[in-house]
Amino acid sequence: MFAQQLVNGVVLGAIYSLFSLGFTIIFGVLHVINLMYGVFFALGAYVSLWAAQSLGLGLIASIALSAVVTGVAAIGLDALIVTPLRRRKERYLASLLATMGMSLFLYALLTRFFGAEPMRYPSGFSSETVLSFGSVSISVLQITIVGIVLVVVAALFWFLKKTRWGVAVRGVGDHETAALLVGLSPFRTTALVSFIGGSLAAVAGTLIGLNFNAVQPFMGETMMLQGFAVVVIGGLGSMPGALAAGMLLGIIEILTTAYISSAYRDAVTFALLLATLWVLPQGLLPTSTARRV
Amino acid sequence: MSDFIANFLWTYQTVLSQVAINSLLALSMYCVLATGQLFLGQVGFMAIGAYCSAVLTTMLGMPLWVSMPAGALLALLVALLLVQPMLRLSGVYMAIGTIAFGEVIRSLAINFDVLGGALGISGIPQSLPQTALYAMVIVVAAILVCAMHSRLGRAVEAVRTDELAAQAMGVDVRRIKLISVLASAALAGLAGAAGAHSMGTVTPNDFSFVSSVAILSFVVLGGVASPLGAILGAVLLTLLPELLSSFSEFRTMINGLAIVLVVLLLPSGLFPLKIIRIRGNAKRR
Repeated sequence: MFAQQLVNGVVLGAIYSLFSLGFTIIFGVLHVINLMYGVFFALGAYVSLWAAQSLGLGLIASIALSAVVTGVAAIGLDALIVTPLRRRKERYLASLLATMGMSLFLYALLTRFFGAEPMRYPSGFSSETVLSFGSVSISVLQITIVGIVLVVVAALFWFLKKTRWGVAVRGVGDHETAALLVGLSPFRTTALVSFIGGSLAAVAGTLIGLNFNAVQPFMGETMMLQGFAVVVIGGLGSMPGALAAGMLLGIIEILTTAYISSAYRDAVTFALLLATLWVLPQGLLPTSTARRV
Repeated sequence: MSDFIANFLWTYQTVLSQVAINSLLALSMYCVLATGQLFLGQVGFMAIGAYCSAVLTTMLGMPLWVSMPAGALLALLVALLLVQPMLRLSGVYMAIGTIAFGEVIRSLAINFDVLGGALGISGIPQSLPQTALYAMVIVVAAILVCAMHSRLGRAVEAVRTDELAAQAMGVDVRRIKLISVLASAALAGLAGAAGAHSMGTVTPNDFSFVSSVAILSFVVLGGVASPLGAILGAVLLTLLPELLSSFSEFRTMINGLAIVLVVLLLPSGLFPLKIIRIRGNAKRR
């Protein structure tokens, strides 16, 4: 029983890690709070649903298409709403408010387009085979989810550490003025970060949709607050911290639902967040960017 | 004429109460934003005040003039317990920490059967007259305006513009922040209680993150230059959706877009600092 719950927790935690990774990159590099990230999450799930239903694409192709479409949408929305606020003195307050306002608008738009009822992926879209290991059963879907998360995270770390563009992104995150002085284009790096963030949210949204087999407009709203909590527990702007905290919260959430009550799920997450902030005001793994707040 | 006024007041009763309650909430948010703190836990204290007053009146049969101050007092007590760890945080960390506080309170309200669970408490006596509600707004606003024009107000402004410089000038920054958080919590508790008695119901959903953002948007629209700006913001943003009620299905969209436009186009709010601060700038030349 416990081992089974642990497996489910690891799967959920992997998705949380992916989601939090995108949010923490946006915060760490652009230094804004972008609550539209939750909309990208829901939008990504809908795009892959549409790709599966109307275009008849397979799992991987749908996710890839959804990542690209949502990434491009994120570039546009960020340029419209977030970029004008980045130079403000109160950019945290301003970006928090403006992106929340835009999220309200976009969630309402999604509801008008797709309705508030949960939608499901077509049957046969993901494998329904279940493998048994003694008392623990693991579905092929769960293995696929964890596999996709591992591949995406590895690709992202490789991109940020080894490629020129990745170094540019990290450079802007460390010190924006210095990065501009050595000739990095602020527009291009901002757009790149928006794209990465939107794509990660889209992949995470699709995986959550597959995991629970339900896609709703407001799935991003609850996820956004959870993701915000994960990112702060891990240390704002810290990528390893976001990965670790995402995994931890996924497991804790499943165990709370299994052994206490699903009604206390959110309370446990946020109580953990408050406890973390109490002991470590800078999160589990503080970074140099975190101190600039 | 008096008939017309009486008729008008009766028709728009709910809206008018909502304007007053939102003004109180805006003043509560103003208290913390005036010191530059991103303290977003007001909905939590609002819930404490609302539930406390609702329980005291519906289950223990206490009169309104006992239960409402009790609600504000309980919010203040909870704030006293939590203010020390909360003040260790700053900026985004304070924002998310206080949002988390609000969510914890909301989850607790959902899980307590005494408080009615997800359905909340209904049948709360709606005996709070509108005049009393508006009198509260006026008294609170007057106190805040006087406070902002006193030594305390200048210290608050100094803390907002430059914390380090304020400290160097001998302002007790910690004490100023403490006072502002406690005032904000007590006011939010009072507004919550007032809301419970004017709507007649309390549900956990009234205290969600979206409500926090709405309260925040009042003050951002009005600007942090004066408490009156906060009230103006609350009045405008409460009435705007009502004026557009024929588009009620687009209401959320309009609200969202209004917030976006205010932040993008009016960086310092409707009440710009220059008009208000006559005394503050005198010595700077």
